[in-house]
Amino acid sequence: MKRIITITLFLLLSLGAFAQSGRSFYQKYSDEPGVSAVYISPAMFRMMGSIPGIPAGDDEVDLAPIIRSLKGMYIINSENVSLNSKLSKEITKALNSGNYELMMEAKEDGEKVQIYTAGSDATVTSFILVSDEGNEFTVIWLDGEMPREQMENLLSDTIEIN
Amino acid sequence: MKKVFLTLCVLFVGVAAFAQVPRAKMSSYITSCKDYEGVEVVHFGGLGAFLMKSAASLVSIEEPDLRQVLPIIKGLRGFYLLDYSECRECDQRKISRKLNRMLSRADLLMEVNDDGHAFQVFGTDTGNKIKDVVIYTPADCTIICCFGSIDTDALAMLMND
Repeated sequence: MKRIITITLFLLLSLGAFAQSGRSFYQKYSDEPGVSAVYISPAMFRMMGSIPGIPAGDDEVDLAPIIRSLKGMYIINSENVSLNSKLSKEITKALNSGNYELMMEAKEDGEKVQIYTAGSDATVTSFILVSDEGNEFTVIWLDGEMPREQMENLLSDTIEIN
Repeated sequence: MKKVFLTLCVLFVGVAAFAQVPRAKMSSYITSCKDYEGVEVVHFGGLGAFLMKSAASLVSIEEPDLRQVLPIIKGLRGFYLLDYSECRECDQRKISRKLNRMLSRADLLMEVNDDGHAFQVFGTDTGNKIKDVVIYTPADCTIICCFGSIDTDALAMLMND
């Protein structure tokens, strides 16, 4: 009996740990006023074969061809100035608690774009783009597997073209 | 050991059942919504879906483009459309609340939420097929249910073309 309780607790706890991801962030803020939000599941990604482009400089980069498996894509765009600082704090907390490293940062005329990734040397398992324009705050959160080298090349190529 | 195995099985089966679109509940609720004033319900059952597929395959002889659609709708078993935008506001709230409660257990495939104006797609992912696709726009008071299975590979091919 004790063993059953321990296993059940372990399972419930592991389910709880899974919830601390892009999904929980999305669920928390997608219904707030002044917020536009998009969620794409793996099934929908398979069906459409594409995801919205990731802004890189003046252009957009399409990560879809290099995604090996997508667990979910979450986009939160807030034009609610009173909510933006809360969003910024929350995302900083998530980045600090996860195993994220800053991959790229660009600042221009009060606009700041940061790209964070988590995973191993060979594979990126989570990608977060944070764009802060003062009155507009955007988070693009992608959970899935992508070869790191290909992703870095794709991003740097797009930025160089710009 | 047997007990542990059984507990794990019950838990996993429970989690899997939790994520499905409640087809029977939804279809009977949508049908019952006809009683509200201002509600519009369109329903094709098994026979309707069969006739629709037969008509599509006949048309595809002259319209080759339509041939690609046939494998996608092959698994379609029923179709419901509920439009309750012309209802009284209190009825709209009641229907939305009930639909939200039923869909809260379903797997969300995609959502676009523009300042409270949501467009949601629900369904059950079974690998190369998606079962029971529900498209719900609460702000427009419209829900579309395509019961049966949709071949994702065929749909992806059509979209890429």
